[in-house]
Amino acid sequence: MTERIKLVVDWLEVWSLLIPLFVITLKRKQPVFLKPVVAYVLIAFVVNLLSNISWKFKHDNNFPVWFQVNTYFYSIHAVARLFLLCWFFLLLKQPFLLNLKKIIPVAFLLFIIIHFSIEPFVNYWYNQKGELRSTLAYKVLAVEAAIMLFYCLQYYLFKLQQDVEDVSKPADLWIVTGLAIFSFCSFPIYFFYNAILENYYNFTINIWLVQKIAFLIFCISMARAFYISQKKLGNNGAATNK
Amino acid sequence: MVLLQINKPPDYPFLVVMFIGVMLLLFASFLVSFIIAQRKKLKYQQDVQNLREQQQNQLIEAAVRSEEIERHRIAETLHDEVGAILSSSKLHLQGIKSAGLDERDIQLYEKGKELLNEGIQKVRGISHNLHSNILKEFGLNEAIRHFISKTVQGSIMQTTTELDDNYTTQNPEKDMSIYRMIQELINNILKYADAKKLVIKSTYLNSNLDIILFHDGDGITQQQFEELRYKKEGLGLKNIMNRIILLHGKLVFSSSPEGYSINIHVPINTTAL
Repeated sequence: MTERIKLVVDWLEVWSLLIPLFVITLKRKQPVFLKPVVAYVLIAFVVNLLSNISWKFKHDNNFPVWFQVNTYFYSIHAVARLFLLCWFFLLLKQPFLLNLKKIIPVAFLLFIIIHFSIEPFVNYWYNQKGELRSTLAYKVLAVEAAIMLFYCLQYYLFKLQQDVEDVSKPADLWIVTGLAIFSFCSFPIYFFYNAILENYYNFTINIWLVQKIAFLIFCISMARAFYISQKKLGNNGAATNK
Repeated sequence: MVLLQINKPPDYPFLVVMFIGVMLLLFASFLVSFIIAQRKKLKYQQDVQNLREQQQNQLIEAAVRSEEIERHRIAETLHDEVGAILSSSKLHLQGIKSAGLDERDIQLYEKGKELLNEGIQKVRGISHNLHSNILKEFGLNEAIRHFISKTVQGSIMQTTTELDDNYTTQNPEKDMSIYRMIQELINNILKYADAKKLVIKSTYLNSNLDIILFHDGDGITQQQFEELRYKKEGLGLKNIMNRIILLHGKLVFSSSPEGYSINIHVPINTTAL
């Protein structure tokens, strides 16, 4: 029983993405502002699947060394998430901190170029026992989570400022709320990642579960958004199809 | 005494859990206040919308009432003043002795009398249509039957009325609005549809009155109606729509291979109008 639960938890980051993917296959016609989120779900699924395959089957197969570590998949996932969701926020056309929202992805791009020119992208090493180990690019992940938090908060602030409530696009609210929960949980984990991994290995594994559950919530909220946006598109396509 | 300084590392698990907990708590309270603010905003919007609708209904009601008052004033003027002048003219004309007139003058005299009679009849008809005495005295069904018999008289259109006699007047002002709509719609059918057959059918069930006007002429569909009602010249259709809004009813135009139907649905037991 414990083994089964462990299996479900281990593969959570893969199967949770099947929930929004299932809704996308049911409701294929999504409004334009959700297209980046659809792309994110597809990319995230492929990246997480590869990441889990390399993690779970590295001992059973003769994978190349770079495929026996999976930490850099988290970096790919985070970078894809940031760019695609920044695009989603821009497509919402909220006239609030517009220049800043355009500059941030460019600044992040510069940051990752500088970061990966200093530190290797696939960062692996062998410990004293000769075991293969790899380092998570926790700085990239922490910065990405912080940026996502900023985007979520500015979204809510703009909504609060609005005099007239726009009820034609509740789908974006679901995505932003899911993303905010995920980012609120991820940011402290990535922020303290290096410190806790060195001294509290078991705690790191346990706290990772919180992040996984937050990711599941994010996936469910995306699925809900895809479902209701499609419904809205049927009633008022012009309003949602920019 | 030796002072020992111990460099104890920070309790990272506690810090992480606290950090996550505080952040989630902050976000949850932010989300709750956000939802409350949005709901308040939505309620305010709904209140404004309701107020706007209420004002619009009041304006429509005032317009409908003033139109009705104006109709009555014109009807009374026609009946009491123009009708009286025409009757008096008829009396004076009848006072002329035709014995000394030649053949041509007799013909002119007879033609004048005939036209004067026709004029008196027309004025009476218009006056009755505008005043709707029959509606007040005998109810909606009788008023519709009377209006159809008077209006269709002389045209080649064959009419059938199947009105539900279970319906009795509960709100005279509602009946007036329904009657005016039917008048306008039938006048439009006569003017534009070139129909050979007209069927007017009503059913009264569960406090809902449904009237169907079916004709085999050239009618309009719901889409055409929606386009016409916003045109400047479509005053009649605008009036019909105003009355429907006031009655909280529905007006549906539909077509079939046999002809065109206009369905008027009016809930009777509402406080509207």
